[in-house]
Amino acid sequence: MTSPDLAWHDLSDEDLLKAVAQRNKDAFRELMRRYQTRIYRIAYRFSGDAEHAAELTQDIFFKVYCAAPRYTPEAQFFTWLYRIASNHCLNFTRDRKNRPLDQSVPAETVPEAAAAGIPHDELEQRERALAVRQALDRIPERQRLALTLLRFEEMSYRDIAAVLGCSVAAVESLISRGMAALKKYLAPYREQ
Amino acid sequence: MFCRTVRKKLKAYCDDELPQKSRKAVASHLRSCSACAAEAENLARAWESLQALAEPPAIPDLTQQVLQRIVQYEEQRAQPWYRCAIPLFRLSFAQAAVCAMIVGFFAGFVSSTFAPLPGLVQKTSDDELSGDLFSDLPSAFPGSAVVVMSYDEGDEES
Repeated sequence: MTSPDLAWHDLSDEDLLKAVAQRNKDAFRELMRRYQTRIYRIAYRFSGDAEHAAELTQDIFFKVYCAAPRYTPEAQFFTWLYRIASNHCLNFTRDRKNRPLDQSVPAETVPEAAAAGIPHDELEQRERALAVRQALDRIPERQRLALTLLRFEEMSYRDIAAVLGCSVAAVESLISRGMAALKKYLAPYREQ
Repeated sequence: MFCRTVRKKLKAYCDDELPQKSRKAVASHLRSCSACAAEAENLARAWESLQALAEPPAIPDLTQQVLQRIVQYEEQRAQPWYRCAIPLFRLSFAQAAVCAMIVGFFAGFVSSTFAPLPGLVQKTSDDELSGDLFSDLPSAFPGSAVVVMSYDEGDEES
């Protein structure tokens, strides 16, 4: 690895973002290297499929690049980035509701042809994953986002509140209601 | 603490996010209320079920795609303003003629109402400030010439 690459590795996120604000592409590459996987995972958990996740991730980092000059150090870079990601994911969901039925919506059941030949345990696991996915998709988007950040990013309520731009009490309420909805939608599956 | 209040705080309790006082109150209630204790277990099971969600498949490296998009965006921003306005001028001859007439009429109206052109005003002494000052101006001035730019397809860079 050359010296310039090492220099970018050593910089803090905020310093990297300052360089990105000056339109430095190497600094932007380093930011993407650090956060691309996490943002993609959030987008995947939130949208439910790889194609949309890739699209969302690209949009989010493009927005990061354009918004870099407006970043102020009052907010941590991590919070700022996740806020952009959250707002974009929420807007995506709202836009999707207004669009015709999406071709990439997963099938309601594992197709019989696909089920043939698959070990029973694995089939059960797939069906459980599908049931959880469908239950999660029915939860209102802000509740779903709060649950995603808590469960898969292991963020504290305080961090989630900073990302969503609300109070800790509001996050508590979002998560409580989200879990109540999740239990309700998973109940028929558990009774089987 | 009432059951309804406890159940709203159950998740935060499980996540260790409650202040100490609330945490003790919830813990105390759970010891004495079997219904809320059962609800806490249901909550834990539902929480664990989220683990069943499939991991994302191989996460692609999207750096190149994003950088390409950024380059295209910056190239577009670097174009002179009139290149960006090209689509506005893709008018047929008839549309362009109508636009020119409207703009010319409006410019003439504004000119005749507010501002006489220099050179068209009679020189008078300071004492002759009368309504005849602007009598030389025609009643409707056509205004400045309007240049309509029309672009054929292929003029733009692809």
